[in-house]
Amino acid sequence: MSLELNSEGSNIGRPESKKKISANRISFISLMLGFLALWLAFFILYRTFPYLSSGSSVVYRAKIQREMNGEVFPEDTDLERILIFGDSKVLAGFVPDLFDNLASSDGIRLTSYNSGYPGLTTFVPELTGMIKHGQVPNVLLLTSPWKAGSQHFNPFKMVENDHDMAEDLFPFRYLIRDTFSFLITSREHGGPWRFYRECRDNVRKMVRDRGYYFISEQSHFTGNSLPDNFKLPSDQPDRIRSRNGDSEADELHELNQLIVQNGIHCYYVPSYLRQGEAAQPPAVDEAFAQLLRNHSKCNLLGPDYFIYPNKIFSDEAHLNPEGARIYTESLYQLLSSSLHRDR
Amino acid sequence: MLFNSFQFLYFFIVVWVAFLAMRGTPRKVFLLVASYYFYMCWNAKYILVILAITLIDYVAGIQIEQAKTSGLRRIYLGVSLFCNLGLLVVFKYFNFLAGTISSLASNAGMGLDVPLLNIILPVGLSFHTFQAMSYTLDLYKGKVPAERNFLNYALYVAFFPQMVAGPIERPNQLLPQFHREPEITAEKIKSGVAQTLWGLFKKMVIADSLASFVNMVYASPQQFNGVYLLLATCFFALQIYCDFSGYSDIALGIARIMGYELRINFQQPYFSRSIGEFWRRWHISLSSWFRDYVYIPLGGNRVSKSRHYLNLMATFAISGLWHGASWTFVMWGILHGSYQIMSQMTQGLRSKVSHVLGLERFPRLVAVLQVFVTFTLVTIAWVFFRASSIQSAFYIITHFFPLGHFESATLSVGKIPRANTPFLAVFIALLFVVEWLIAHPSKIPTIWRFGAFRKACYYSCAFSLVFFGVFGHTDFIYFQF
Repeated sequence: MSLELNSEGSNIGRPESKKKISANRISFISLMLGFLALWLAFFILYRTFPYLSSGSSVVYRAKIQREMNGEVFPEDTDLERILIFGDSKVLAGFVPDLFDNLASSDGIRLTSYNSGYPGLTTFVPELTGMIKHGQVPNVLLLTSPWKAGSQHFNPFKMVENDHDMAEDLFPFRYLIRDTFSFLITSREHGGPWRFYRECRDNVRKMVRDRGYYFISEQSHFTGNSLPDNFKLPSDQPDRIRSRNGDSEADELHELNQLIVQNGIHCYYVPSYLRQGEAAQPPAVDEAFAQLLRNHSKCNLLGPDYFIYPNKIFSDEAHLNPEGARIYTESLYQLLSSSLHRDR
Repeated sequence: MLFNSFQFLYFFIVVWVAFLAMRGTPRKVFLLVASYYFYMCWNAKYILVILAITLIDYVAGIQIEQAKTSGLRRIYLGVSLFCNLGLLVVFKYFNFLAGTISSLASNAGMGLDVPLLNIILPVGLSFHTFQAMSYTLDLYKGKVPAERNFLNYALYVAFFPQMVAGPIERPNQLLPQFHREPEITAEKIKSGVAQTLWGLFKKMVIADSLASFVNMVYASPQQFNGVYLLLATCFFALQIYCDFSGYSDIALGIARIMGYELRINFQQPYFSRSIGEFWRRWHISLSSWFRDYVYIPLGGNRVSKSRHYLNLMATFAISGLWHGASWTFVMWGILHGSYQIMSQMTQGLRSKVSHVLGLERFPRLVAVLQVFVTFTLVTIAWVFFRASSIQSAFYIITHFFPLGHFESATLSVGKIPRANTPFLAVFIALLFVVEWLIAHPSKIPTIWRFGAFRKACYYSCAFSLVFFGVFGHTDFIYFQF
């Protein structure tokens, strides 16, 4: 194409030039076909061996699949439906079975679901999808604010999110990294094949556990428990972290609409951090509470985060099963009076 | 719009296809409109700044050429320089100067509080004002004729591949290219695509992977011990090189795909054996600009020794200030000026020591040592470039040792996932190998002659972007200048 449109123009039509043009054209087409063939090969590998991906990616895909298939809540209409959204901290911290049992012992019949996703930056599209499939929660628990910004057409910003686009165009983007990580980790799990089956079983367990997943593969500490003296240089024990949100964001308006249209009770609940990772937060984050009061249909329950000791963390960011029990119980304590009231 | 974004990819495909389909003036008009759109993606209203610079220097250029007396020529040149430097002062240096005056007054016990301007620096302002000034300065010296075609001149200022971060082109190199139709050949396209891919690899796979860790450590250096400070500083040396030379490679590559040739901006500077050589290989278009328009007019080295040293120091201090309106950048420039002066002052002594130790017999060892020492000095200077304040920079430099304990999980917090670390190490090693081969073409292995091997390398480069590249809006470091 390049030589056909060559600005010189004069060489077009000569026999040797025509030969060159067709050689270039073949070279270009073969290069593109080669790229497509490689894309296809990676895609087939990725689809054939889904459990080569990191545990969090596999869990993410399995959860999305379930939510899109409308398999989140049981059919029993008498049950209160509790749904918690959040990042990987929620994924590894909220145990639906335990939460349901705690409620049951208080005489509240409910079913909860953990919709924590690794690296979650948004939840409104997921919630919209679930509602479309008939999975409407009665109570919605949130830990992270909605996505900021508006999505109005802007001629100078045609592509909103390069990261998402890269993931859409190349779903196998983490294949090499994950395979490498898989092979390294598999040595501690009796070899690749045994580890592959273990990953598959973990995902099945996550489905049985209604979205709760203990992120064991990131823990490199004895007994899946961080040592007492563990700390990172990035810790800021004197700094209080706080949540904030964009009051003009499109997602907030969408969230408010979903809440009103479906009669959902929405609460912002605390996340959690390690001891020393940040300073103890105030009992109520007044600024965030005011933002919610003025602009959202959600209420605030408790502080922005709980601070827990190292021993109940399995790695620098996530809770081990004992920690998950404590976190779930804390959330239930915060929510129980509201659950009684909302009934 | 960033080169490392999908928006740019789509933009470039559309622009290139349309560009190929056009000829003559419509092609140039289209290219100018595309360049303005490219710029407006950052801040639409600042296109007025570009238009103002273009118009002022275009008119000034013609007036300089037409002026009957040297006094009049000087006046027109003065107007052009005043306007360009005035824009720089208002947008870039006003708040810095006001802050400095206020703090000096406060130290002297006076309560002077100069008000600050609430404005954003237009992206790449230092680049296009310097390029515009080189036009009027060269014209004044009679090196180039005035450009009568406004379209050509507007393209010279706003040609999108090099508009926001250089290379800073000279009028005698770029302007003539807009007078003729660009020659687009298959060879140029291949070479342009290869260079663009290599630039993207450096930016997205290496620079952006290291950036978060560097940002984390430099944001609060007091929290980290020596090993992190040292690691972050070495990472920054790699990051800034891969970021800026990556940008330049992409700029050169996409310009070549369109049939234009831009100046080489980097020539493997980390293989330099002295600071002088480093500056002949790092950001060449800027260092040669300062050489031609500041250092030589000051007298260069054809003056007394003390004056020569003063010239060197002044040039480097101004160069530091060009990078940013902060004392950290001035300090960075002064440090490089001091290196140069020390290097020249100790030249005789170093030769004697080398002779006494018999180092002439081990030229390779000497070369390796010189490269290591130069890299170390340059890296120490980068601390001032990157740190948020002079105090912070001194803190970092004085706390490299003892190294202390290293917790590998910190890399994950700095967004270098555990599973990525070995790949990143391999890519950094590969970077040095490839750059060394580019500097020593005679050493390129014969396998490179095989088309299939070259194709495999290009595929590897493209897929390494997919597998290991950081996608998202990560600015190029030099855009802030």
